[in-house]
Amino acid sequence: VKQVRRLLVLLVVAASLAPALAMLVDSLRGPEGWSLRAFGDGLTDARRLGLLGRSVLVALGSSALALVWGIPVGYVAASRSRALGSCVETLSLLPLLLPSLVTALGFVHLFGRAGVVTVWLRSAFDLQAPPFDLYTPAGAAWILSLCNYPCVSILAAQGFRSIDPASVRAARLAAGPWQRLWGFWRPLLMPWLVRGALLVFLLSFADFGVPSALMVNVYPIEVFTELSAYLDVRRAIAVCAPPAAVALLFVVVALGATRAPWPLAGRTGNDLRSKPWAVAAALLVLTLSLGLPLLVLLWTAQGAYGEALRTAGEQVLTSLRIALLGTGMLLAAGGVFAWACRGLLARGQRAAELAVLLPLLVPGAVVGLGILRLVTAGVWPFAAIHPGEALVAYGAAARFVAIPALLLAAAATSLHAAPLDAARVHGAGRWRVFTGILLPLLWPAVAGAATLSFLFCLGELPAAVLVNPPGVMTLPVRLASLLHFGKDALVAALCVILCGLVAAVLLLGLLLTGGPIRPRLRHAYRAD
Amino acid sequence: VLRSSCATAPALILLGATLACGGAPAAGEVVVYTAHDLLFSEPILKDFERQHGVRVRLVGDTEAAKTTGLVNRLIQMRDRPEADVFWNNEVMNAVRLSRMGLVEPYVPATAADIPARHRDPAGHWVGFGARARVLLYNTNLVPADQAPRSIFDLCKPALRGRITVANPLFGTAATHAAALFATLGEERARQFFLALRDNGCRVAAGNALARNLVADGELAACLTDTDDANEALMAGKPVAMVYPDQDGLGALVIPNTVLLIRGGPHPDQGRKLVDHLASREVEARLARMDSAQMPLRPGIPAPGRHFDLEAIKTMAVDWNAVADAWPASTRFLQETFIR
Repeated sequence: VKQVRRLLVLLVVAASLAPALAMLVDSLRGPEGWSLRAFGDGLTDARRLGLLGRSVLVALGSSALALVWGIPVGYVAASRSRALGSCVETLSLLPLLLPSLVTALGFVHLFGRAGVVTVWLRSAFDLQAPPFDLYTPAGAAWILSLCNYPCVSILAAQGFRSIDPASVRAARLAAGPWQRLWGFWRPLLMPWLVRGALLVFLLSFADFGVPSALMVNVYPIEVFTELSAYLDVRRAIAVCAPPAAVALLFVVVALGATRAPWPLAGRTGNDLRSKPWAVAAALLVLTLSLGLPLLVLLWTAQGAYGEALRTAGEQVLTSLRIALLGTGMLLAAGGVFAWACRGLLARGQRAAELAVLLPLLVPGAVVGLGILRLVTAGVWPFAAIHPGEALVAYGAAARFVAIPALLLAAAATSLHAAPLDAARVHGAGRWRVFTGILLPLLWPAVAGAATLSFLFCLGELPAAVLVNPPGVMTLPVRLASLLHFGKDALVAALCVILCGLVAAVLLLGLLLTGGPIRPRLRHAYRAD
Repeated sequence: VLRSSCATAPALILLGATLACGGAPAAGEVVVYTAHDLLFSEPILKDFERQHGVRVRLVGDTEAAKTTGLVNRLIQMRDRPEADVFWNNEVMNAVRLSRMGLVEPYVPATAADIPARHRDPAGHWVGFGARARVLLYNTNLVPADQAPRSIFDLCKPALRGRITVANPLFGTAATHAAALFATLGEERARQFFLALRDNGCRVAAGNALARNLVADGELAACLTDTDDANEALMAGKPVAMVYPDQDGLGALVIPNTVLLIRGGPHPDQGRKLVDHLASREVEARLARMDSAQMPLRPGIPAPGRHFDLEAIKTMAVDWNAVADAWPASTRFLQETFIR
């Protein structure tokens, strides 16, 4: 059975990496036969190393800030104040809906050299120079952290929920605040936070939109240069190698630094009190990450909603359809991965985690080109479903498989087998065990994974633009096209509509299910 | 609710997957890749649908996000082409695709009155409706008497640290750079770009972003395209547009181009669409749109007094020479600006 589980992990990773592997094979097999020529000189010259260093700095800064934003939001989301927690968790996911470029432009509008806030501060305090400069690596890290922190907050919330309330009470009795923070919360939350920060690191490391909007040169531009300026796919793949190696190094170090591969789960649910400082911090984060960009968007939209729906209503529906399909694919892959991980030993789980993070290192454009390569090579099922929306959904799923896989695997491996065994002993069939026990126990993780998967699929651009079928266009492609012509009001209106639509869907989900983050079974068992 | 969701979700996903799987393109349709802004290309393609009864299936591009886009898609799909026509918004990639053998030579009859310098002698591409590279400056930050009149003025100390250009590795900015390499000669072009960098020029992600930075007062001046400049002018931003080097090099004019893809699935419909796009009516329609594309043919009303090709001095370019200069200029600009 262990072999089967290992095979399944490999299958999920291979299915996600198939386009990248196709491109890698192409880059190694040139007209002159197999060769490493594309990976030769120039990959590590001083200029490229400088760009790589700046990318690492931006991504590290973004991860650190995302931890600052994500922990209080996760705490409030997991607190026993159900209405507040659900609202905070729902709202905290919405920044993922806004294209990062739009968020960046919103911040420029507020905090740029001629931004509203900057001008006010300069006149109020008679400043000669702007008080802050957004057009720096620090500015890029700041905005990227506000775009990507939900990866931390959702995992932090899962972490807070996994902690046994009895041990929280015991810690309160036995230790002071700083001792509790260092000796109790830190070790218990560390595995969740490290994984959240890793996701933010990888997403920020690969991002091109925000740094380019702030005129900060980062390494991903090298990949785009090879593809767009030189039209050299082989070289582009080779250029991906140094950042992939660096990112992999960070992943290995970070995963190695966490002692346990998965944290032990206590009772699902807890009685964390929503502390005023945490609520205030969460509200501040929501204001910065969602409130301010939305304010700018509402200001900019100026009643262009009707025109937005006329111009891009079809793309909104197409994107929702494709995102739903991608979410289905991701949940299926994540579910298989989680089941397979559950039966592996700690070392195997860590290796599986490392493997499933690999697709995040592949630039979206390479995924798109790889899919086209598989189509032209007639590889099943890619050739069979081309041209179709399923291919677009697959492109997004192939990029973001790590997100549901990590969330579901964390929940699944911390689940005790006793309730499942008890149900089987009492004659419950597999389906009954799955729907009656397993799914309710995993529901918070499933809901979180589904929501994040949906949001990432909805916003996917670089692979979609390469594989969308003729006559079909996703919303991000349309938004980017509108952005190019400076149709700011239309873009803003579409973003507002999208946020409203998804917030409504999420809130409806809360009402129907009693809260995606609330466990349906109050008592699970501590894992061995 | 949970249980019924569990039961219906897989069924819905399967149904979605079935619906989402596409089939081969049907006859009576044409597949067009368009790099031109969708706001303006879509109405023209709808007109074609109405006039010819041929369904147009469109694939768009996104310049702002710097995706690798349609050219890479065409190259990657060369063994199994899905596009019939490529409506490109510039010339360089048309020349490059022609050189790669991806283009079927075809001279549309409707293009006979387009000046010869805007057509490929071998019939691989034909130009129509053009943009020009222009200087844009913020009138609140730059007095009119100190406004730049030449691209070389961007290197003057008065504008130090207050200028921007779109990333010269992509799009029309890259075409402009290669054209300068081809026209000025490699040495002079290098000196110009080094002086630009040393004068604190910032590299914006695209022409629209460069325009925004100037229009919003973040920076004083930029090089951009006429369609981007027109958007700022229409929005009433405090900017002014200048055609550069009117007593020297002239302004670079970059037309749209249309290409028939070799081995495309609907060659007949593709030819019809190429005929349509190269027609006088389409040029006139493009000129009336907000993107202010300037007609190449004489006799078609210009989009306005600021956008009359006959009233400006244009840069004389040989597109094949520009394509030859491209690799050297790109390598140099990458080393100079992307660090």
